[in-house]
Amino acid sequence: MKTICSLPSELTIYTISELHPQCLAWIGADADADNGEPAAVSGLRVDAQAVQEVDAAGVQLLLSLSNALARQQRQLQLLRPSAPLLAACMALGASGLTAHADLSGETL
Amino acid sequence: MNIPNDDGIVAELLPAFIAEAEEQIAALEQLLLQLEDTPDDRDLLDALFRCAHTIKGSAGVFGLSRVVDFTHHVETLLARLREGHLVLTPDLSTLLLQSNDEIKVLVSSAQDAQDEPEHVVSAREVVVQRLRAAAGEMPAGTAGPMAHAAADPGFIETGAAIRRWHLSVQFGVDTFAHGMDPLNILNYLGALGCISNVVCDTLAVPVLESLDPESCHLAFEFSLDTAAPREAIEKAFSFVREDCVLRLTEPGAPPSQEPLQDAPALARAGVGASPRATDKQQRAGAAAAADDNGFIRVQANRLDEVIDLLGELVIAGAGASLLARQTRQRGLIEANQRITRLIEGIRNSTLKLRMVPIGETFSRFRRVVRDTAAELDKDVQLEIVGGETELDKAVVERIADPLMHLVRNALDHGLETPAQRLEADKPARGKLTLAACHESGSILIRISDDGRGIQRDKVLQRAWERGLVEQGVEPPDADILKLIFEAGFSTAETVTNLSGRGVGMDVVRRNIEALRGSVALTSEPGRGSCIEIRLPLTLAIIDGFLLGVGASKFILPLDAVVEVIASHTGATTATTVDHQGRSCVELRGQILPVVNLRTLYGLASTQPERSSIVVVRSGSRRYGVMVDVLLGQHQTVIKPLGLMLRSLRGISGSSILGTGEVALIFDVSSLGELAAGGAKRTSAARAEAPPPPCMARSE
Repeated sequence: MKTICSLPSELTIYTISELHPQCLAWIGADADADNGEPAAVSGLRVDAQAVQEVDAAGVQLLLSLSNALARQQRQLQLLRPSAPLLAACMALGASGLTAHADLSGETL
Repeated sequence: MNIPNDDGIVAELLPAFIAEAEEQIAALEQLLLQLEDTPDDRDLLDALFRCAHTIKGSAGVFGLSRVVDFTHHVETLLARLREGHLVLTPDLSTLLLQSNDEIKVLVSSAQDAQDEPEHVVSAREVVVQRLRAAAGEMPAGTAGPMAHAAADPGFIETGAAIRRWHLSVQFGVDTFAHGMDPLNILNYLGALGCISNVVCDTLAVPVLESLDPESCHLAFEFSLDTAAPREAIEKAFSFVREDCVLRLTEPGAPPSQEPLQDAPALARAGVGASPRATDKQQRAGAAAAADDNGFIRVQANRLDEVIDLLGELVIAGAGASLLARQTRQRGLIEANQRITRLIEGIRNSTLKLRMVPIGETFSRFRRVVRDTAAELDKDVQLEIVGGETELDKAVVERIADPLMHLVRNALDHGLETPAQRLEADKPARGKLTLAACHESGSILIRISDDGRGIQRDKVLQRAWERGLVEQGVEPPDADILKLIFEAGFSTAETVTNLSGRGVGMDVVRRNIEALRGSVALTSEPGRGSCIEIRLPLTLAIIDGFLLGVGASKFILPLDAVVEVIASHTGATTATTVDHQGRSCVELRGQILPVVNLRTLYGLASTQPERSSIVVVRSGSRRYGVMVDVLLGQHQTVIKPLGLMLRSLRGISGSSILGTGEVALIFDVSSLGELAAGGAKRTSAARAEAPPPPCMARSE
């Protein structure tokens, strides 16, 4: 029922070009799915536990994804964001990204 | 790098990175050594920091985490020096030099993916610990920029007041494309002090559909508590300064003042207007970059290819103009002359491309001198003169080793220990000078020291022992000094690991001679010695003076030609010619040794009635070369001699003329020895300018 969205281990300038279309697919696919399942309307859950390397370009992509979701009145919810990702978001003042993070360890 | 698609690109770019990093490492070393003399020089400190930062930055681009991690520690220590929290002590300098060596090793091993042996890793860890201790970092606590800064006691120790700055920064769209990462910059600032209240202007980031993920739309507001001055903060942005908008608010302003509230709006407006604004900034940036960095990296073999082709072009051009002259058509001849002039222009400019200042090679010796002197407990100052003198890259590369040997020799044998020097009424600090200058078409490199000089008696004793000179025979002093260039000669009483292995000086001489150069030595006991190396500026093409003897053609380097005088066979000016073709003429009251090529090389043709003597300069002496005809200036592409001719004395190479004939190129200095030198009694007796034996006979 849900698209499985997970971030790669490297979320940097070297990988974002590949990830960008995937992200677009996530919003598209999920938006369609949402039509059938209004319960899931609130957010896009993205597994972020694998992220080991992250730079500002990676964080920017997540911000952009979050902005795109905001337009659809939805939220980006990072699942178990890894320590490097949390540190990068904090350092870059992008705490909004992690505000709704699910740290519980619940699997998808 | 774990992205398969990138592997190819990385592998392709890695050599360029390594070459560039090696330059930075060399620059680092030079700067460190300069800094030892002027520890407070801000510019040097800034330059040092930039070097380290650049290495770290580009290593990061290639994912060379070992280089990045290590260089980070060096950078931290340099930052502390730059901020004035630390002063460069000799120990610190040694540590930094060692670290630089370590970076060099790391960079050069960047290409092998294998894990390093344990002892290498642990040795590096020791250096890291020392770097961190020196920088005043706590051994633990790299958790994050803020923890790191908080754990750093340095700022409190110095007593400089910590002030709160407000920063508003909007990065340019090309920030990522330039290999810069705002995250690194913020982390770097975190090392300067404590960052708080970071707010990212998230609304400035376009939505996914309209985002070019590789362009940067990030803008930040934050506070920075630091004791560092404004310049230090601005320096953090030095790599992105051209395309970022930075607002730095003076400390003292309350955090909620106008800029902070205003700025997100400003940043947004900035992003909206970014295409135009950044375009302009980019252009300005590009112009600045072109000014700063007017270099193109070219592969040496491509340049060699051009020079090879040029050589062929010169020969073909000469052939074409010869044919044109034969047709006697004026238009064709003139057109050919134009082409010849243009070829000459291209030749000169192309050869200039290969010219590099010798200073780079010289400054490499700073480190050698520093370390070697320390090892030998000597105090030596290296002075470099004429580092901007240019010569062919190939020559520079091949002269580095002989120079290294001569420098080490001077340090080991020539210069004394401070105690010995004081005893001899000399300043405790020895002086070693490396100098270079241009001298009539060649370059002169001089290595001089103010040490004890060469001990003539010791050299003579050794020469007798080794059978280089017959027991009891005492050659002139100048010849005795030359003995040290003979094979198997070593004067070191104890063989040190620096020099004195007895493989040195003769190899040095051979290497220099292989470059068509010469080496001469002068020495004054107790006052020092001086070695002069003369090298041709280029190995490829020279301006030659074409000469004919019978059917044979010869070329003299034009720069060596002083004048030409007419000579009549049987005229009173010339003395009899001995079996080696040597004679003398009187030129303006001076005796000029003359070599007759016909006799010297046994050329089968009869001496014409009129012939010319070309007066040639070689170093400080002059001699004449007797020839039949003068054929004028000739662009000479130097080709090596074949095996058969390599042993021919006085000849250094060959060249192909426009007619397809081969001309032999004279080696001015060895031909001079043939013209002026006495018969070879010992292999070492190469007299500088004794009266030729024929003089005695003729009078």
